[in-house]
Amino acid sequence: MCPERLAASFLRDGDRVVTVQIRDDLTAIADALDSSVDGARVVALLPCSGDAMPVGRIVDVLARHRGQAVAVVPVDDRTHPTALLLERGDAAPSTAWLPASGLVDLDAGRSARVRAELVVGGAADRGEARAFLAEAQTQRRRAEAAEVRATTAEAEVARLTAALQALRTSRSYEVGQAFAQVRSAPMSGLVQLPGRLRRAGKSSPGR
Amino acid sequence: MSEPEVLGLDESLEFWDKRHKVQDDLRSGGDVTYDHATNELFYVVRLGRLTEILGLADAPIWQRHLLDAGCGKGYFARAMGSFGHRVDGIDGSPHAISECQRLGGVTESYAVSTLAAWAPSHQYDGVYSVDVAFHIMEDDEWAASMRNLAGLVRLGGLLVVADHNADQDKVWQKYQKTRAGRSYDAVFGPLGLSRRGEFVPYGFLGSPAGFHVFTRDA
Repeated sequence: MCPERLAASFLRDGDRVVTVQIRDDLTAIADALDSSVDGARVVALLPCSGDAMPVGRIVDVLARHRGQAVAVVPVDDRTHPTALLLERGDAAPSTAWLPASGLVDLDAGRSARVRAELVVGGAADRGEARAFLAEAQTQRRRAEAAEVRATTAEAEVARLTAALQALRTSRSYEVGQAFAQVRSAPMSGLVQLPGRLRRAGKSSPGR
Repeated sequence: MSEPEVLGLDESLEFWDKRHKVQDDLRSGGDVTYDHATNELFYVVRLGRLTEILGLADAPIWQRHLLDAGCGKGYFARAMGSFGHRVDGIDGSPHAISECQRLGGVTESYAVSTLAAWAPSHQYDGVYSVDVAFHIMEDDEWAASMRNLAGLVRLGGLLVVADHNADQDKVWQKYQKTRAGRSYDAVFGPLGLSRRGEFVPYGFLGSPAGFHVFTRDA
């Protein structure tokens, strides 16, 4: 989705779009939240992919400036490929499962933090998982291609070896070898020629 | 009495990179006044205290993700990795990090970074920093470092920072400044962290150092 279309579908009159210039410097988000009224929405365009978001800093900014995370959306923008959708205001109290303390009732602040960690951290985790799976797929394809190449080469070697073996055991090869021997060593070659021709007569006919 | 001259951030980074190059594995991040065997004991005792605080790895399918902030040559990070945790280790010394990468296991990941600059794409179940905070001499850098570490802790997670537990900040030498316990409360409290129990002293050869333990609960 392009940023303009996203903003048009999420924002209402008086809401804001802010562009974060440096990945780790989130003062633009803090300023936008501070200068907005409760219920206002903010779209923050981030200069990094979803799996590279500085999650701790984002959650911290949202917690300290009363920003609620709504969603993280990839957008078609080369320099700012991730949009963080926010709403200014307190979250409703809720209950959540925390790893360290089990099931707990959450006041507005903690509820907002849980939500921010789930939305922002979850998007980053999913991005990392996607990158991991893509890399794993690439490696698997490379391994499969290497295996196919190796199998093809092995089959070719086996075919040529069999052809060579067939040639070496053929009658014409034996006869040729016998006459080649005569040419290279006439005395011994002529002596051995009748025997070799007899043996050649018993070998396979060749092709 | 006037305070001794102290190292700035760049000087400090250079100082520690050099110390990691010239000192052996334990003294570089341990106590230079101890011999090798005593440093072995010192590391083991601190590891024991830290393990008691952080607890056991929960389950192999859901490893706890830890940050060793200022990991040096990676003694504690490797130990935590061997205990079944996933560990990220960061340090300002390129030499120390290259050693970590050479020696580290599959569940460990290392990067060159200061404590204040580390901005990963995830938060941690636990962040610990062993004998690093009192080597950050500049107060602004120390506060930025502590704020950043606090922001990296998941709700319900732990932040464990080693320092003394005195009433006042104190400069000991050009590369060591301890902060009062209340200095940590002042930074972490507004960020949603509260103390979990009392200060945990190392209890080693009369060392005044130990762990401040905080839980992220807001």
